[in-house]
Amino acid sequence: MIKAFLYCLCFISLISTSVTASLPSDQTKGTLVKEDSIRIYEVDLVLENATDAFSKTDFDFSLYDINDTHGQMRCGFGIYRAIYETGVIEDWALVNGDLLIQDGLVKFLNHRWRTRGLSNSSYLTKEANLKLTKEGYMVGKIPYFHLFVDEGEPPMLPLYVSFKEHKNSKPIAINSSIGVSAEMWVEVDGWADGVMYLLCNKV
Amino acid sequence: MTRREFLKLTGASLFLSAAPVSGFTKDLPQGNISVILLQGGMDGLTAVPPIGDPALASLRQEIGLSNPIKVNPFFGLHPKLQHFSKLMARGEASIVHATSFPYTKRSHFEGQNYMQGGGSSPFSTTTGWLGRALDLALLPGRALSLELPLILRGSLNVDNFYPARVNGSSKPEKWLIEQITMAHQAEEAKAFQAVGDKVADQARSNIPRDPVSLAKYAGEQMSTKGGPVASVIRVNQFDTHALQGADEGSHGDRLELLDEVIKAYREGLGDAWDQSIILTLTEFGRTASVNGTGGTDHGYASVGLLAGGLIDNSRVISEWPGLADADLYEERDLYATIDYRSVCAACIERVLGLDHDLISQKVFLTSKLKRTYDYIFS
Repeated sequence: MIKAFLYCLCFISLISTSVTASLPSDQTKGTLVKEDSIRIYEVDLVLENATDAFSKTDFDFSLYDINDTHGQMRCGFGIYRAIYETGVIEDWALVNGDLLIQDGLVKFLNHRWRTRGLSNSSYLTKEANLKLTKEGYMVGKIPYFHLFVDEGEPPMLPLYVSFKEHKNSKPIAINSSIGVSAEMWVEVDGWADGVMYLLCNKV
Repeated sequence: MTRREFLKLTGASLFLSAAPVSGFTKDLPQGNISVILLQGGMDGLTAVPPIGDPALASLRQEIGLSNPIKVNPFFGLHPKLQHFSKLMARGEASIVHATSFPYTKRSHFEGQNYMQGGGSSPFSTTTGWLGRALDLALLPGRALSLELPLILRGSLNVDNFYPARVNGSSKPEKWLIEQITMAHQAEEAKAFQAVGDKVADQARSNIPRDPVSLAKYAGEQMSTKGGPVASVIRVNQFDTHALQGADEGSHGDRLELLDEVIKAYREGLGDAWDQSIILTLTEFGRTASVNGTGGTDHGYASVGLLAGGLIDNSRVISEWPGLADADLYEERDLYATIDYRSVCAACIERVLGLDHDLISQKVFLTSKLKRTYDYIFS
């Protein structure tokens, strides 16, 4: 019995040796290491010039006829969500405040995001890239906080949405002076569009 | 009339795949994925030199970079990868270093098949890993390609486009397609006819065939609602056995082209960039040391360059094996310590929302693929 056991041991040992010996030498070295040996090396690169890189609000205005001669208009604005499934436009604004349109360029003035989380006025003030076309449409790109963040929920960075000549938009009547209303619609995501309501006066 | 009689291929080609079919796809994918095939063997030690490794300088004396872009104290970037470096600075690009598909035989033929097939070995599959992933994600489409790359082949048909041109013909599309259609039967004829319809719809547009223009075109297509989810572009001539150059030279020129391709994708994708991932793929890297003709020979590990809005934080991901003699594979090549299939799997998981284990078994046909998702996308 013991002899048989010992013979078995020898046999197993021989098998192990022969199997090992038959493996190519590179496979014995192990081509992969455990996941936790992988290291993340942080990146120290800094953009020297902000215009050197792509901005998230880059927009090709060459497709539009920009109105750069109309002077100055000051507008109150509010952006609301328009839900696809129901067609309902919500009563509560994502953001509202004032903006200035000067020679075609849109500049956001005092305004406030209502969405909480990471939203603050610096996004529109610094990053918005909107212009007015000769037909009275706003085109360009802005940062857009599309979700309300409740306490305890993770905050989210904004989307970047493009205003084009949306079929639902009602352009600004540029030749009028006082109490000009307009709607600028924007596609956002699969759940809702955005609607910017404007009430403008020539300055 | 044969295909080769009227088709002239450049060194670049574009394949767009998997337009979601209305009413068929239950959930739209979360993003889009583009693969840039770098054929010939991209030199990872030139593209991303490990400037912190003490052995690098002596190995690469003749072709060492004099002015790499410093990514961090350990890694640099070839100066021709300017746009890529800016994407890294913005947090939209990452690098995986010392990585490869588990293939060590250094054959272009086998290596290129393997990097596209993603099976257990070269020529072990008739479908490609990206095609199988799209199959799993239930993203079929109309199918035709006069040259469908293996990587995109799945069991289901994939929507495919290749801008064919007949030399000397001013309006080749209609008669060309008619000729091809007549030469084929049944389903193939239908497929060619579908191409003819599509070409006619494009109103004789002259789509250029250089890789940069193709990348922009691909990006534009993928940015459209219901557009393709995947694209593959080939960039050739990385096989620099002689006079490889350093900051300037043949390999640097290819890296510059690669950089322009990534930039063009970015321009074409526009808003869709935020939902995109682009990754490079090469059949192998190159030898750690320089040969006698100022170049490098076929090697093992290389780098993978990843770019896109789906990357939240830029980083270099590596389990650095070292460049000392004892650390090199067969005392000649950078050792691969990360299976690049796991990187591809992570990108598929991110874009198509598939489970890692499913990707491992059904896409890469192995149960043992490590998950590196969190290193790339967290």
